[in-house]
Amino acid sequence: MMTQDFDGRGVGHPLVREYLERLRAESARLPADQAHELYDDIAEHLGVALGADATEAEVRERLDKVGTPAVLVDEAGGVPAHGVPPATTIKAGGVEAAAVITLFAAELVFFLVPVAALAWVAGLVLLAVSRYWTGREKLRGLLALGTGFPVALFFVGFAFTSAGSSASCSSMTEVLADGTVVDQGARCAGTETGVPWVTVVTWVLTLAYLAFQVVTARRLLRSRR
Amino acid sequence: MGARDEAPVAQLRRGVLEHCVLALLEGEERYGYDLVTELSEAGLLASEGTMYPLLSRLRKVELVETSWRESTSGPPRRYYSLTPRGRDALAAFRAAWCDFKSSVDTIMEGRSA
Repeated sequence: MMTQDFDGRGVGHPLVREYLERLRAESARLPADQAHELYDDIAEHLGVALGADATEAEVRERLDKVGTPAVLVDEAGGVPAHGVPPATTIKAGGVEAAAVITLFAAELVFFLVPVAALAWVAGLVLLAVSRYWTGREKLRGLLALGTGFPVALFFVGFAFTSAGSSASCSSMTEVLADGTVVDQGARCAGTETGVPWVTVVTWVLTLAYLAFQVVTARRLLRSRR
Repeated sequence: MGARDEAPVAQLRRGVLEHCVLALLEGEERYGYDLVTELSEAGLLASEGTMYPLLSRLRKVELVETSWRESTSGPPRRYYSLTPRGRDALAAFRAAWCDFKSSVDTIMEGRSA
């Protein structure tokens, strides 16, 4: 089959530019990466299909064949303006939803270590076996959600260690040979004065991490097609 | 043909299109535009543009994979090819299609006789 040369000039026709603008606007109903991909595919298709000297009639005929931007975005799974996905785009996604839920659950109940560990392992397995997520999406899920349980455990362990060490600082005293009592807690004062900014940084990082988790979970659930 | 008459054909087309794409990729990797043109000429595509979301979905479920190739006449092009999973899916569909076609033919021929 002969493929026409794609010199890119076909997409410069005013009607094509207008069509691509409408497609870009309609694509707002899609996740950004899907919107970009669809736009690039259609622009390339039109560039190949339309020669630089295509007449207005040829351009109109080609645009009719390609389909309206709304139809293309619906086909790509775009959420309609009123917020309900078209019936044809709802597909299996139980495994993906279960993966997200179990990984979040493991993080929330991390203090029940055996239960949380089981949920965490189940979540990771579900993440790995998903047929609807790409390798990159699985990696994103692993980094954002799969790290939740270990991170929670680590921070609680860290908090306990810190609390323990500060408690021991304040209670430690030493009696020297001459009978002088030295309060070792005073040596820890520097640590205590450093707490406010450490706390602020910890809170900022924690909130950023939680936001990253929520955004990732939303994106993954939206792309489970 | 009225809109009501076209609906069953559109449904049939939708049902088989995905596997027709896999079949076209069976022997060789293809450029997206070539796939669209061939399926459109065969009357299997209502709108050419809807093929790209379908190709994207097939890639997502790892039935096809893509690679970029330099073009002598423009920007690099994305070529599609079958994955082992796509090959399996095509083989399964072929077997199911033969049975399905045979059953429908038997009923249709029986009714028209």
